[in-house]
Amino acid sequence: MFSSVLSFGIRGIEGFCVNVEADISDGMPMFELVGYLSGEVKEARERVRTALKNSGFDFPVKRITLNLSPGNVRKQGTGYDLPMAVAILAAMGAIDKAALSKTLIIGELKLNGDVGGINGVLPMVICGRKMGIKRCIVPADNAAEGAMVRDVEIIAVSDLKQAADHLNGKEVIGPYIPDEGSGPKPVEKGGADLKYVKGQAAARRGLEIAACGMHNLLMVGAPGAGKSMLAKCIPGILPPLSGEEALEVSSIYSVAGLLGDNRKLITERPFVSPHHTVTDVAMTGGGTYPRPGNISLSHRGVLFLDEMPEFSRYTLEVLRQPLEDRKITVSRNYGTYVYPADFMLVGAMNPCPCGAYPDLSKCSCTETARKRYMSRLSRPLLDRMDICVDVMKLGYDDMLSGKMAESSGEVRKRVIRTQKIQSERFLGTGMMFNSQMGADEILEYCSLKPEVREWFSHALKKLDISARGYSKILKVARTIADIDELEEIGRDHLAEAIQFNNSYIMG
Amino acid sequence: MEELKYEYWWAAMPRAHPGRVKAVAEAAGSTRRLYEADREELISIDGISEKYADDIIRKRSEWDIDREYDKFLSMGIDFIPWYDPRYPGRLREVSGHPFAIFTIGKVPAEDKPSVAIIGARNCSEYGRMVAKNFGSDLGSQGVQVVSGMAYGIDGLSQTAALDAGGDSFAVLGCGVNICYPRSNQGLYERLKVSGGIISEYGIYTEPKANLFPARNRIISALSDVVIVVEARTESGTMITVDMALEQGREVAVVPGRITDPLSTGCIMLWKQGALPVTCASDVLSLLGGGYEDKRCVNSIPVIKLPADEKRAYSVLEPYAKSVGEISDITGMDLRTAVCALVELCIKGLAHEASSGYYVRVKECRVV
Repeated sequence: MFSSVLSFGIRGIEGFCVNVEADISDGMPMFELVGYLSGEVKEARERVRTALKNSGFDFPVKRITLNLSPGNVRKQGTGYDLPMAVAILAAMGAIDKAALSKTLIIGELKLNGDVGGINGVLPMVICGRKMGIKRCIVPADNAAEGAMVRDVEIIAVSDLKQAADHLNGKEVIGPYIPDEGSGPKPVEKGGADLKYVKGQAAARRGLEIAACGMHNLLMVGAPGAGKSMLAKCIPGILPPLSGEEALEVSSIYSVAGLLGDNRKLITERPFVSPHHTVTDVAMTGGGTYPRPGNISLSHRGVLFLDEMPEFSRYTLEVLRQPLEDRKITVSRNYGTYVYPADFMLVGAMNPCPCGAYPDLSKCSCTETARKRYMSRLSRPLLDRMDICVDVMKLGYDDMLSGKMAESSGEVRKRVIRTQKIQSERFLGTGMMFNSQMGADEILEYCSLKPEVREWFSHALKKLDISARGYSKILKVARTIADIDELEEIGRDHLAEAIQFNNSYIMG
Repeated sequence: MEELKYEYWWAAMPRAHPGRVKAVAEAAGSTRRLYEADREELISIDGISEKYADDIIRKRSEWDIDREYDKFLSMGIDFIPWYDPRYPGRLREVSGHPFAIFTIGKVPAEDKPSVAIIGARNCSEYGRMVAKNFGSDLGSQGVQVVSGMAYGIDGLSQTAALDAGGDSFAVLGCGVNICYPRSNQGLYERLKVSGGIISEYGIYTEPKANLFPARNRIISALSDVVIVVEARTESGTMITVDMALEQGREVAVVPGRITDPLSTGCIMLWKQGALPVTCASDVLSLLGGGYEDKRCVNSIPVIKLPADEKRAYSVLEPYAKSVGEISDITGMDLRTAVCALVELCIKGLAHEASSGYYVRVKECRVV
């Protein structure tokens, strides 16, 4: 007797369809698993047999063959346990085969027959919906996650018996309805709101401009000046995630197994801050069985690298390609995977190894030491940082003043407005922000009036600004003019952009 | 000619104390004798200990004198022993002068005044500005600027002197064919053309910390006046000052703020009797000999600025201030302040010293 059950695997952050086929024939009793399986999938043999037995089914003393098709794609993970058990039951005739059509089944089995949660349910369900699947049987642990996708009936099961009864129509489980508490929450959390940031007018301004044009940002300041706190405020001033984006981000976290215990939709922009000892693979994603790395976990959000020069050179250099392409391609033995990586890079560093420069009464670093410290950030990487702000140590007056500064919510309004201007400008080009402009777009959208151009070329000469500095300044000036809602880039926009293109660091 | 080969060998010998080189050569009568003497004979010479004799013997065996000398001759470096008429008179007159010097380019001219501008490597923006002004003004007046080509005050004053069309001389603590520090390669090449590179150490001698105090005595000896721009109380600059005083050279200091650690050395010297100087004409009058009546070259230009820039310029100092501070003090909003500062930088009146920190780099009277 033959049966086939529909299940899903994960490649990159996309689901792909896997048919779990079972055949029970007469012959020497054996249980064979085939289909290019990794270790944990092969181990399913013991879990499935024991779970069937402990759920009250008789394990057939026959020749059982299970195949996971397509046979040329490596299968991994424990999500195939439940579909395998169901396929055997269907082949035995214990489950009606008609009930299996257009039904996606995933879940891990425990020896007592319980169904455990797995990673990546969200992208599987999204992919299933695209294929026209109407019903998904998922572990109860993953039900909330699956229910993020509309128009698909989610059946939450907590053990094998329950799944079998449901499919047989003995005890039908109703579709899972998410509890209302899972709607979008307000953004402010953990005190990362600009209203708590005292002083720092220059840094706040830099932060706002960076957020408006999605410019990568480098913060320079003494230890304890508040660089990390400022960085944490960035997700709160960026526009909230759209529904589409939220699903995209949640899918990545689902694959990485980082959705958290309640497995709810991620509605806040991610803020990822890896320690400087992070490896290049952890940064980009990869491993024998690839997993999304830090750059993908910060997709649509902020990747914050505190103490940036302390990161290994190689770890920083791997950021260069994803910063251009907004995705990362990871090739491994078992295939090539593409992870999205559209993030805003925010770096923080000290002005010198001791952190006190330019206060020479405290700084004891030699010029050589300072240059060596700066040179840890490579030129091509610095070229991708459009804005450099200086974060000053707070004066006591500012520290003690009870005055609340402008809140993230207020700033966010301006950011949303400015980003809208940009998305209208770039409509149909695939670009969304000024920071993504290439040479052609700069020529088109950053034209200067003759007298402004003359002043700018004089300034470039006098301040010895390089060609790459030139295009960065124009892009940032475009954003500043957009904040002012002006079509024309003026002298003051350029002057401010020049200040943010820090010659001391950027060279 | 043959004798010069042995003198070259003797000058290139590594040794414990630079002052001893010439004394030993004199005691021996000739450097050829030093080269040919056996161990007994060497020890019998005044000033040669057993250990030193062993050093000499070892160096003799390691060195193929003919080959090394030929190699040296092909490098275009001058070798000037103390009795050579080209040997700088200022240097010959001080006790403990080097047995010989190696030079690329010229040596300081006898008939032109020469001034050493020295100070901290890790100098402040204030020191940077003063060093450039003094170097430039003295260079343009035909004063030779002598220094150590180090980071900071040394290199900046020498570069400024060259920019102003003057001559400058660097005394190195390593072989003249080695550029130290490496990042001053540009200055090093320029000095070969308008001025010179001088060292008492043999070619290929690597820079070592213990060589620098001794080279400082040459810097002070080659100058008529030693100007200290910025120095901490315990620094290499102070060694140069001690040498200068021993050699009877005039020491002048540039005053700084009493609270500034980089000015503590200058102020201490001032209290001990060094003369404070504030502009190049102060130095020229110290030099005397017709130079004193030159006009004060550091005259302050008058410049017209828009209101915002005027306000920003008025609060700038040679000590770095952040954009935030400047906007707080002037009461201008941040954007206006930033724009004014960038304009000032473009006009060459201000400079961004570090990320977001600005200094005044040129003194002007603003109307």
